[in-house]
Amino acid sequence: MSSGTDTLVPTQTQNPPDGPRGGYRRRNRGHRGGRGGRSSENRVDNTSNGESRGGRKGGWRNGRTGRQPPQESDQLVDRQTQMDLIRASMTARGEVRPDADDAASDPDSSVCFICADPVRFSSIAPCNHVTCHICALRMRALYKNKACAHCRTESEWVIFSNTDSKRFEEFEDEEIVNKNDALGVKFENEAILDETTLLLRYNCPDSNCDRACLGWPDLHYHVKSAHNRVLCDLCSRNKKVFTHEHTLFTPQELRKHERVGDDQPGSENQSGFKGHPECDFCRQRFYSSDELYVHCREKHERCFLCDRTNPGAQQQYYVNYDSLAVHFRDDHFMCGEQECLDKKFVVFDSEMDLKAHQLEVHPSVLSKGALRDARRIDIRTLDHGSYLSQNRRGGSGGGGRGRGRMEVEEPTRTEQQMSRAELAYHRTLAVQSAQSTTMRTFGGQLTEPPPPPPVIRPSAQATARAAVQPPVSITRPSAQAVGMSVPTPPPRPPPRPADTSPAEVAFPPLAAPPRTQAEPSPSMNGSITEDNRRIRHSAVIDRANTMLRYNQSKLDSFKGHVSSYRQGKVSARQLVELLWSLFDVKAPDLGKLIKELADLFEDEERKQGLLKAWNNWKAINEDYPPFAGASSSSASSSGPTQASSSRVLKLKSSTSHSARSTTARQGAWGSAAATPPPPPPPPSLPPSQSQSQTTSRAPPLHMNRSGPGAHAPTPWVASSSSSSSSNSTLPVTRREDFPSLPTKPPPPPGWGPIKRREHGAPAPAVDPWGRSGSGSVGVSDVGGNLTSGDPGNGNGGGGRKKKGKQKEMLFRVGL
Amino acid sequence: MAQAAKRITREYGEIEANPPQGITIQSIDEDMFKWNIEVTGPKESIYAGGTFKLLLTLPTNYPFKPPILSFQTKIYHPNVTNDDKGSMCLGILRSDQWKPSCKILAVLEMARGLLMEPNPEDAVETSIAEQYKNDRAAFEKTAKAWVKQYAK
Repeated sequence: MSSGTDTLVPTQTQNPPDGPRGGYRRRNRGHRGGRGGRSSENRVDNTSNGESRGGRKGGWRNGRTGRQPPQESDQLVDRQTQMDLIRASMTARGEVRPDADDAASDPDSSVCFICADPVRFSSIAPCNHVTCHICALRMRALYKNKACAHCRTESEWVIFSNTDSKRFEEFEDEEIVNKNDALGVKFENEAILDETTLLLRYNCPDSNCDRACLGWPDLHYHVKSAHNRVLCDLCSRNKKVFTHEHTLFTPQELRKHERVGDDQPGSENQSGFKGHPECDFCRQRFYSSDELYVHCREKHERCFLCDRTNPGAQQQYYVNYDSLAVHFRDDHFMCGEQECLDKKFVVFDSEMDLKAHQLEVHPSVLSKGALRDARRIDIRTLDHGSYLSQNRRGGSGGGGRGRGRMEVEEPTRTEQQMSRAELAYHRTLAVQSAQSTTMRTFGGQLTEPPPPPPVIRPSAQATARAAVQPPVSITRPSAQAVGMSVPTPPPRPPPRPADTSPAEVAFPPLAAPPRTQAEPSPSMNGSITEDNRRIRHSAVIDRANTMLRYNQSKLDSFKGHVSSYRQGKVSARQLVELLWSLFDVKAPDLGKLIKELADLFEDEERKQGLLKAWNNWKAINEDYPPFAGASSSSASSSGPTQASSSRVLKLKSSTSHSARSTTARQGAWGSAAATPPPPPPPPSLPPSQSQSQTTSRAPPLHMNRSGPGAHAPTPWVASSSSSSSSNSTLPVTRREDFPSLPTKPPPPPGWGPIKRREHGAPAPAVDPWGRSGSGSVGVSDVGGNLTSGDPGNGNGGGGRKKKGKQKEMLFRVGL
Repeated sequence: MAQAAKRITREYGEIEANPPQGITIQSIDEDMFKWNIEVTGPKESIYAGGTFKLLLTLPTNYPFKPPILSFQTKIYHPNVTNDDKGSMCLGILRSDQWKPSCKILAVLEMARGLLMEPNPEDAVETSIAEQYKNDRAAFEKTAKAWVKQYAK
């Protein structure tokens, strides 16, 4: 573009854009001998150079663009010659468009509607819309979009032709000399094919170099060695331009390019590019704010409360949950109970909400006086007051003070965002409902006969918790050992054979002390798996049978539905709906069943599909009602805890990658086993090493990062609780507690591991756990047990009722 | 890239040469990827009398990606976000509906058309859309008040 001209400020440019330059150049090239006098343009003008670049005809057979065999590299064929050849061949065949020379003078007729460049060859789509072949190629090769640029009609094929006046259907097969399947392009003659091929190669962006490289690495190397320049890596990965249209930079220029862009305001070639945005936390740059946004959404945290109060504000991110927690503490009302701290995201807009939460979930923690106070509402702040304060807080939160915050401009187009904030919000809801549930079940447990005056307060010290935990872990190994030797499937499926799960890893050490057997040896693996599967299978059937009230015909149709899903006759979604209509039970119960069921599928895809379908179903049918009812505390708690806690989990880790299989399994495991969510054990397991500590700690962070994942529910909870326990008191205490455990809790019937197994009733194991009461997890297990066992149902119901009463009373008093 | 610049230049020229009714455009400094737009409220509409400033931002890969249109002037409208961004994202501006053949002129005219007739079915502000559908009088009252307050 040096050839001419005036800097093109938009205001000044009324003359048609195709003015002298692009037009001439383009036309010249290829038809006229290419790079003649004008060829020395500065290298900014990459576009027009590209077409003429390169020498030998690549030919699609070589695998398009740039995959050419090595000999390509030594072919610094004289471009002039090459172009002459092409031109000559075209003229010879009479293929040169007669009006090509007039393109500049007759802008409208030969300028592409899309790119405003002169049309060299036309691309004709079945809808008979015409663009230049370059635009068509951009759409098809770079944007991978086969839609017509004019009408968005998708078309498998377009025809590159010399003429734009012929209709698509008028082309006969014999007129097509070649076609490219990948692009969906048919070529009217070889010259167009050649041009297209040239365009798609890894051409060096340097305007005076016609080297075509073999691929990106080769090109990077080439520009470095031959031109002492670099390419922007982000651009080369993300920018949808032809290779030769990329820009070469010196290292300094590259830094500027990344930081502020290399726009040249006012120039004709301005790009509008303002640099690659950087994540202030990670110091990593992203191609555009869209990518940065995705990164932040996945890797960092946002405050859902601030977002809710002030949706329009600039988005604030916190580097991780710890940083977010600081903000929660400073600017909102976060529940300080360890249990809730572990759960994360238990934070409220206003003090009143926090108090309500404390009343509901941690009544035992508050002293009587505090309880009374909590129930009292300060009328001054009641109405608008609390609202205002909440606003104020929200506002201050948005003020951007504090460490570890970053503001990111939200991409204006927000299509795929189910933001983290929303997820977090749902998480909170789920946590809340889970809590209320927990409470209830817990209460129920208390009132039952076996549970001695077990009241360890929910906030129980970490030590207490640690003491409680070991039993769980112990029971497992023992159960497993038993399961191996005793084929009869107890209703509760024993721990699954460890394949890969982290839990497993943690597990062995644990199991080891009590029983060597527990550690699954490789050789035993197969049989164990088999055994386990059988056990799990029968557990599922049992559960289904119970839920169906032993109605054989319904049970049969249940089996029928499942097998048709297994065979792919019905989709996962349909299956969920079928089951829902078949089972007349509450959603959480059904959820438990479905999770166990999913666990039975060996086919990972089926399994995930089912879980996903269930989650979706639940999201639609379940999540909202509880939400509304959450404040009243009555509604959501009816279901067994297991389900709700799993929902929390799901919300937390909707996208977990590596941990997927593990987590899924764990979830199923937990529900199937009807024992306290297995996850806790692993964390608690690490008997004494400091190492173990760190590991247990790590999981929560990881989860956090990975964002709301569906699967990792248990791990999440487990890990967090474990971290707390490991933090304060260590293995030592635990060990001590360990032996004493049995005695401490008035041994429920069949407390010993073996005994328990015989009973097949998980209940005993549960008790200690429940008693500790610290973990919602443990409680939830109790709930699970109850429901899973037939007798359990009655119990659970009773307990629930009582719970409910309690709650009601609290409420009455409070208000 | 030059391609975007070329097309933008051309469109700018076309619009300048033949300005649409009620719409004025102005480039920002020397940046051809951002245009200041002024749209006057159509006479027949509730926004009559108001002048709305808009910012049109063109992506670097225009026209293969759609432009971004945002109201700088606060406006009470179901299709414009009621925040400091004032973004308008509907119909042809959505990247899944955008056609490279669509011109900025059409975008601007669509925007003005929305002032004439909001599209509550495709709203970004659902509460305003609800009001528009169910309580037109209240909607118009607020909208007019906002015009008076912000768009004069």
